[in-house]
Amino acid sequence: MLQKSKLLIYVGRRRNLKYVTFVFVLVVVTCFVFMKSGFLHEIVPEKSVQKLPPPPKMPSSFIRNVKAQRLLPQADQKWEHSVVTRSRLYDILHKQNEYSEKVVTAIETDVLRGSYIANLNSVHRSPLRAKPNEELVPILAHPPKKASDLSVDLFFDMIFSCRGKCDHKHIIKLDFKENDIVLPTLESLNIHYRRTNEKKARASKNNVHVFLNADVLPGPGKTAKEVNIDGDKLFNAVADLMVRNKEGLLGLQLSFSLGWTIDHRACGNGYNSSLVDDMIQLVRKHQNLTDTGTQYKSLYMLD
Amino acid sequence: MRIGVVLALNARQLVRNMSPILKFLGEFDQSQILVWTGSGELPIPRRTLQTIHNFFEKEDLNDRIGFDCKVSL
Repeated sequence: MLQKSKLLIYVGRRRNLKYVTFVFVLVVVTCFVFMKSGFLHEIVPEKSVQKLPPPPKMPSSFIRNVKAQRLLPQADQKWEHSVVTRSRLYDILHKQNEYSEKVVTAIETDVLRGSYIANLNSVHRSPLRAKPNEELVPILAHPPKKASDLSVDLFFDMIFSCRGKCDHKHIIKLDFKENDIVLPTLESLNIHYRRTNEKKARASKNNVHVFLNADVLPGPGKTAKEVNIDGDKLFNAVADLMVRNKEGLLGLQLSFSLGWTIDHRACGNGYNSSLVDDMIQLVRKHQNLTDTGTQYKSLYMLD
Repeated sequence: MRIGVVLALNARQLVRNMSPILKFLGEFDQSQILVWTGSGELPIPRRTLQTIHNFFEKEDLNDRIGFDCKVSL
């Protein structure tokens, strides 16, 4: 009798265990099915899930506006980097077909104050420092070199005097390396541009689009002390030139090309939001001079 | 006379963090960006260029991005 009752208890426990296991599995499967179907999301509010802010969206009319009122040339260009010698510039302007498969449409060069040496044959022979008491003029040279056979005057003369012969559209990106070089360079540009008016090349001189490039803010891996160009001075120099030479500059295509001084090996987040905000602030500050697509009526908008 | 604005950006630094640049392009809808590598800098891998291109293409901004970059083969 005792043995029979022990047996019944044992069988009952086994049945209970099976029953509990069955219920547990059933609950797990049911929850899984509901979660998959999204049913539980409606019942349980998502309190702890932090959603990332959505990326900034462009206005819907954005693409249409850009195509309708383009101020800048097409972004897709064939660039020739660091053009700082007379022979190299001549080849680009006059021997395009002998070059590679694609014609160079954009020329990048560095502008600084240094020695102009007319008979300098190779940039590799150019001295790093100017001689004492030597008159320093705006030249095209890549730092740390301080001498070149291509002065800014000669550069613009070659660019504009070839109009009519070499009618390719050209972007000229002038990378200013020193603060006090901006104004004399702009004066030289103005003189050569106006002079072209009197020549046959008048029709094609507007194929030149000048980018005034400078690193105006400290970027990744650099401090404020390492910024050579004051952004405000760059904008003001252009504004000053435009106010003084309204008629002469009509039709000249100018753009600001603004950047940060950087160390390309610097670690970190690259161009972060704070850096971009600083740049937006600088451009907004000089919105009267730039036309960046906002509703602001430009003081200097002459055409 | 009207003056446009181009943002000059180093390719190696840009590829680390591209989203903030969208704010600038959205703020000034006539602006462009020009991605460059410096004279003393090693060429960038082609995939870096592709990553940048794909990012801006996804945002439908590929007509506002130019490249002045040395690319390794």
